[in-house]
Amino acid sequence: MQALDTEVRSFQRTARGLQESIGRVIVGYEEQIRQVVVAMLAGGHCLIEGVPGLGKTRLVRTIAEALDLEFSRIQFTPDLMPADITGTTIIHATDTGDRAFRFERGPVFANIVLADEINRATPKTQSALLEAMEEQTVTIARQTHDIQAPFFVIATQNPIEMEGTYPLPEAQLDRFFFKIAVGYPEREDLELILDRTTVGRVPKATRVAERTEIQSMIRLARDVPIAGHVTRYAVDLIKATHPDGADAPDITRRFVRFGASPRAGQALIMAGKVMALLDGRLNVSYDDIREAFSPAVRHRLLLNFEAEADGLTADNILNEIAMKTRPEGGPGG
Amino acid sequence: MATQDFAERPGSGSLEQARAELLHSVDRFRRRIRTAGTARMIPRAAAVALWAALAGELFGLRFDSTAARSGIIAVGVVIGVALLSHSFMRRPSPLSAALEFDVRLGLKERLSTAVELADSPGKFLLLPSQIADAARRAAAIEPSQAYRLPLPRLDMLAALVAALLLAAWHFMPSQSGIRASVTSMLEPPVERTDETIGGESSADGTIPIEPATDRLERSTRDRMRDSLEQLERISNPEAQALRQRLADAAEALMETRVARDAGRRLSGEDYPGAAEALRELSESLDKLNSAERQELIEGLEDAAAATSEDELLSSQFSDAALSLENYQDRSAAESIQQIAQRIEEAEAMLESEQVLQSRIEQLQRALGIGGTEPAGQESGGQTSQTKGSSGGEDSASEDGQGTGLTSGAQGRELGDLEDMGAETRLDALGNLEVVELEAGQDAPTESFERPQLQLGRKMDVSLNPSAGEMGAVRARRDSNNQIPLDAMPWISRYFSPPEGQ
Repeated sequence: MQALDTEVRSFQRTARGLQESIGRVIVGYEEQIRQVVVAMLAGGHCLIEGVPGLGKTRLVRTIAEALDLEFSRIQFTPDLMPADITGTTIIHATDTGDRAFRFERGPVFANIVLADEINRATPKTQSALLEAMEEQTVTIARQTHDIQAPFFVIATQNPIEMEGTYPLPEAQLDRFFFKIAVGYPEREDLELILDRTTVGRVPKATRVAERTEIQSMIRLARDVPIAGHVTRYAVDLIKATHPDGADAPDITRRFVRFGASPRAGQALIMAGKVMALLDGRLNVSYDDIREAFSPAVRHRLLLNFEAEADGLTADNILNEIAMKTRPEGGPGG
Repeated sequence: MATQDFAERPGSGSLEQARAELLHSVDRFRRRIRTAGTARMIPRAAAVALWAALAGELFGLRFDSTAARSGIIAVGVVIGVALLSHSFMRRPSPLSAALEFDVRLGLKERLSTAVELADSPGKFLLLPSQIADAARRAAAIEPSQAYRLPLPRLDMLAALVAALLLAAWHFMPSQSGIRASVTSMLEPPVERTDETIGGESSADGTIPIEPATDRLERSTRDRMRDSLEQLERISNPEAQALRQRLADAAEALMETRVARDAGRRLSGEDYPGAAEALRELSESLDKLNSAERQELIEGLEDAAAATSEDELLSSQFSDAALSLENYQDRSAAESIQQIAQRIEEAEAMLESEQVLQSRIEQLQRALGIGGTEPAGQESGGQTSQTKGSSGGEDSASEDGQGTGLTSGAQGRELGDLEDMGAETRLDALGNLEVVELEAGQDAPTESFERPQLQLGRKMDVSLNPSAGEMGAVRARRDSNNQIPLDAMPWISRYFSPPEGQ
């Protein structure tokens, strides 16, 4: 138990250091930083959505800097091919003069992959990430190549430009642990951003953790206890997004075409576990689940035409569901 | 982000000990929740019982039923007790108690998680630490501070209002004010008939019959019924038989010259006088001549025969006769003195019994009950032999119908008015309802000059007005000038319609 306690203390110290390190570079966006850290420590991938110029790419770069992990960046464009991501088999001349096939690894073979503007690539190319994201392997020419753990894909996308973009397919979206919305900074934050980025010396993140430590933290998070009633609350929330479910609220029946998958439930629980550790607890609480609900489910909810016509977003519906779903013994959502 | 240094958390100690400490703390929480639940339920239970008591009073009045009243009150009390018992018996599970405290104290499900997973420590590596953390936090909680007793204001208000209404109902005067209004509103409706006085229409100057209501206030009736039951329980059925035996013995003694005075006094129920006369007789036995002696012997033997059902009294009469016959005057004198003593003893009992019976009859009349006297008693006989009464006035009472003139006598056949004693027309509360119509000694009913009917509550009418001068019907004090429906036929028979009708 003593060793575990040390591990737990180390987890909190590292996570706190990671957030502080990122916070030294990225002004504001504490919630988004926390969500990215949570997703990473839960072993999940993130989709960061925001208009251009908000620092999404910089955020990911800073995270990579703070962690001693191999980082690669893929700029998604319409002409990007799957092989440009996964790698390809090339013919090369051996020392003996023979010619042989050799697998040339693509940029996906890294610990942190920044898929910048992911929705600019065609679905075919986007799908090249599917196997890597889920299985952490890449299969080329019947040969499966493992990607070294930990493996995080952090994708960014621009929600306003529709011309020349390809919305991510549902299967792809479902593989993202969190979808993190980045909005405009507050006035004070903006002032600080301008101060920091228009001088000669740009602050840099300090390294706070290395690969094995990150892996230990991911393992540790899985061992955070969660009570049955908290799990049931997560299930209730997920079930409430299913329009054909018996317990679905009216807003779900009316505006949702497809609800959240079981993978969303897994994300809720895992995020809850990491959040508990970050907050100095050894158990998942209702609040953890509630906090993780929107980022874990918003990209998994497929709204119908009526919702779009009414200008409703997934967040509107999820907020309503969270309000109406009461946990056992709790005062309400 | 709220964070906590893990160094604060106890990291050592056995899992078993931590689990035991946790469950012990949770047990305290459970007790506290149960206590609070019971405390919360007290005002609600009281409110239910009090409102039921109030409803019972009103329903009892509306349906004229003590059973309905008691039933509703009993149901309310049972529900109240059941609510209390249920809340006392209901002890929350350890998990729900832990969850309750988690929510109240913002413990983020620390306690409930530990309680729920306490039996499966191998499921998560961090669980033992989590249980230890929860146990430490639970031990630091003072349940009485964390879970204060509730103040259910709405329930308390409901109980208070019910209590005030109930108290007001009981303490306000029954004959006037709000209570009288409520009473008159809730009295059971009486079926209206088309009867009018004398069977004539109102256009002919008759009094239209108003719906007769039960004019006795309900709680008064209930108390009267209770009193009646108590009096009937303590009534001695042997008293009347004793009175009759003494009367029979008196008749036998009156046949003799020397004991005639004692016999008369006995017959007139002057028991002390009769006893005194017998004692005087016992002292002059040696002065009797043989004819007087023989007459007295026969009289005593007849008295013994007349009182044969009373073994002691009969044997005393026989002993006296036998002693006289054998010229054992001393022994005869002793027996006669014993008889005198027995008569004196009987006097006390008969007197109290008489008062008792008088009260019973009054209550019966007031309640409109007839023929409920204890077995062996004649209802009319009691009245006929009260002091100063003449037996001839009581034929109506003897058939058990004479009390029907009170307002509570609805639906019963009425006795003949002219055959009733004045006292039979008074109810137990002394309200005069039908004023005496007294015929002349020999005047037939047909020759009455019908008195004019007067209605009112404030009439000052003597108890014994003569027919032909004035007759009156006075309603009870707590109701308006309404005449009992069933009194209409004979009122129209003996009274002229009131003026202006």
